[in-house]
Amino acid sequence: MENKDNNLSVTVYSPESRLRNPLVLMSELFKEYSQGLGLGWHLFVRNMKAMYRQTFLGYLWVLIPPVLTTLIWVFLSKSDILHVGKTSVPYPVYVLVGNLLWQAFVFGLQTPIRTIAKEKMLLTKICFPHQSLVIAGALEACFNAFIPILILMPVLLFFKIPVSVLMLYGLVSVFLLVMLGYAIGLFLTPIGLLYQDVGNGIPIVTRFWFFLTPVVYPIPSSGLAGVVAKFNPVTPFLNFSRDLMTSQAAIPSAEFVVVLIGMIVLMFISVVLYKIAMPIVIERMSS
Amino acid sequence: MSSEVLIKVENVSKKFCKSFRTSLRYAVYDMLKELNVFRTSDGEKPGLRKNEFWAVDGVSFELRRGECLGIVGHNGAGKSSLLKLLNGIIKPTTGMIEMKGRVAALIELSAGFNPILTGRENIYNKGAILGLSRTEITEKFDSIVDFAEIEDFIDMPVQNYSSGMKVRLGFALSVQIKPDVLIVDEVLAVGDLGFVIKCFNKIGDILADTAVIVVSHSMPSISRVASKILLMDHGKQIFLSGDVPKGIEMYAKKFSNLESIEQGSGEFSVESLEIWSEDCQDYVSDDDICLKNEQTAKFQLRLNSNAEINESFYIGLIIRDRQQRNCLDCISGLNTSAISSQGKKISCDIEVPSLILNTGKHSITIAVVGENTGTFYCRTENVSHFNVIANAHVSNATSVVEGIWQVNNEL
Repeated sequence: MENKDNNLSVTVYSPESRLRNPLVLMSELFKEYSQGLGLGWHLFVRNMKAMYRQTFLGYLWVLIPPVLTTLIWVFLSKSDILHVGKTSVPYPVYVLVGNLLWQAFVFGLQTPIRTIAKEKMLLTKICFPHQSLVIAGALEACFNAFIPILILMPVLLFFKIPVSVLMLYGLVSVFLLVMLGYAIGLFLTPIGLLYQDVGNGIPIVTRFWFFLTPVVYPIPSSGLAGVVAKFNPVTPFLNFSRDLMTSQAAIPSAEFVVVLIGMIVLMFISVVLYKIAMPIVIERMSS
Repeated sequence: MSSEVLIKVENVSKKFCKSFRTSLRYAVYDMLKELNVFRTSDGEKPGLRKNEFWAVDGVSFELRRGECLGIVGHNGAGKSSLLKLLNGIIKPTTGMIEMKGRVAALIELSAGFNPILTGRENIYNKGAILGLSRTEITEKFDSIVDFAEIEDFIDMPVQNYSSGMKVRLGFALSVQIKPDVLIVDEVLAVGDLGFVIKCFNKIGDILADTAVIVVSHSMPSISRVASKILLMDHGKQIFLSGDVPKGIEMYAKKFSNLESIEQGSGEFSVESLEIWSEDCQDYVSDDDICLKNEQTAKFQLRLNSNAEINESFYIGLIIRDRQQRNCLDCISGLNTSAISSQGKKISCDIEVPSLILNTGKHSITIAVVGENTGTFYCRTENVSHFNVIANAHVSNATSVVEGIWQVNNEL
């Protein structure tokens, strides 16, 4: 009996802030994320199964939004309601790829609050590695971002876009785009779980953000729009990804590198914030 | 007891906020405070901010393998908050909790089920949430389904399960993780009787190898499983001891409502009820009279008749214990016919040859019931009280008798 007891894992719950001891914090984070990996995958699979079981069109729902948006913008442009500047690839391709990439970013941005808020019951009743929710959310965002891209890529052939290895690199940069959204979304999650204002505000902000990003039209480099676009963190990732995915050679710009570094730092901050904020947030949650 | 301490709780406190909006503001403030690495006011108990109160206030205890702690207290005494702290769902404001080994909590058993997935899928999901690997679940799958008795519905969506079925499934899953520490909140109330018995047997089964914490309002359950009792009141620890009956008694005392309550239609009212006292050799109306368990008890009851009634009736003397369990009914007319004559007053001498009640304070309710209509012409709760002394220290039953025993040793 004594022997058995000595091998038991010990869990201590105490009020002090984990930030006081960064080394302990890091090792805890590492442990929790590696523990949460399996469960994260499981929760992701569960969410996917449950999400589409109650729909008639099933996984088609992943494709419908980008296709519809593309059709609208192509229609607007074709009927001369909208005058878009010259694009490097045929306009429908420009819009379709732009939309898919923008959607990837938005999935990244919106998923953490949505998925974690959905697990109120779990969070308030069961003790489990909360980090698994972060992992499940990231998987879900990637799934939702990549599936339509992979399915719609063949459409590009129709527009005579050459197939090249650049497209594979493009997929990697789509991942970065999702993670950029995810870092911002996760940063907002603790406060968003407390105040619903955040959840309400995100769709409105993204709607404006859409027009300030070269999704459906290239943004002129001069003028106010140009300045805003320059400070828009999504622009370098999105342009870079679109170039690669349409088989155009692209070199990461200086802005790209800055955003990349910023994203990694923000992701780290978000992960730490999530860890220390969750116990405080859960207290205020009702199931 | 040589086994090691599995749960150590040291001076744990937790404060909550009464106003939701304020609590959200405090949450943001607390998050910022957590981020402040240089904060130094460590160790001392922080004060209460506006609208805050201590939900759990300075609780300390230790629990070893094989022990079972029953936590009792009125609603809002802080029991559930304490369980949440023990389970690691919320963080203590001050103090420290140390848990050793695998912890299973039977708090909200249906938590973690997705309603539109099938029972089978949910077993795998919840198992993963509880920390079981896929192969472990596959191994235990049949015994989980067996225990929960839901073979026929395993491929049906959980939203069509009855609440009892969900609880069964949740319980079966939680005990399968072979916990070192088991935390049980009032969850078993939903299951049917058969399942409750099964659960208690299962808890008893793993008790020897586990430290168990049980929260319940059912004193029979507490006295059945607990080896230690913790009585809480307004977050504070009032009583912590291995003397479980004493703890239950203290808890029950909080509710002893000594006022008499009139619930009948009022045709009759109780004028007096007196109990024969051995010491005074007389009938007395004393609320604290002591009677012995196997003694003859004698009562003298006087009723006023306030209005004419058209049927014959019975008079009943109903005795309840502290936990409001009905221990003894003494009813007129069981061997004689119902009372039909009606004067201005009725007086009765009632004799109970052997009281057989267990130790503790008991209350008397007087009822007058119509023979045909069943109308309560009088029903007065807590007319009087008396104490019983029985020579039984181990029993938690409502009555104890010595019986006539003949013990033979057979070879």
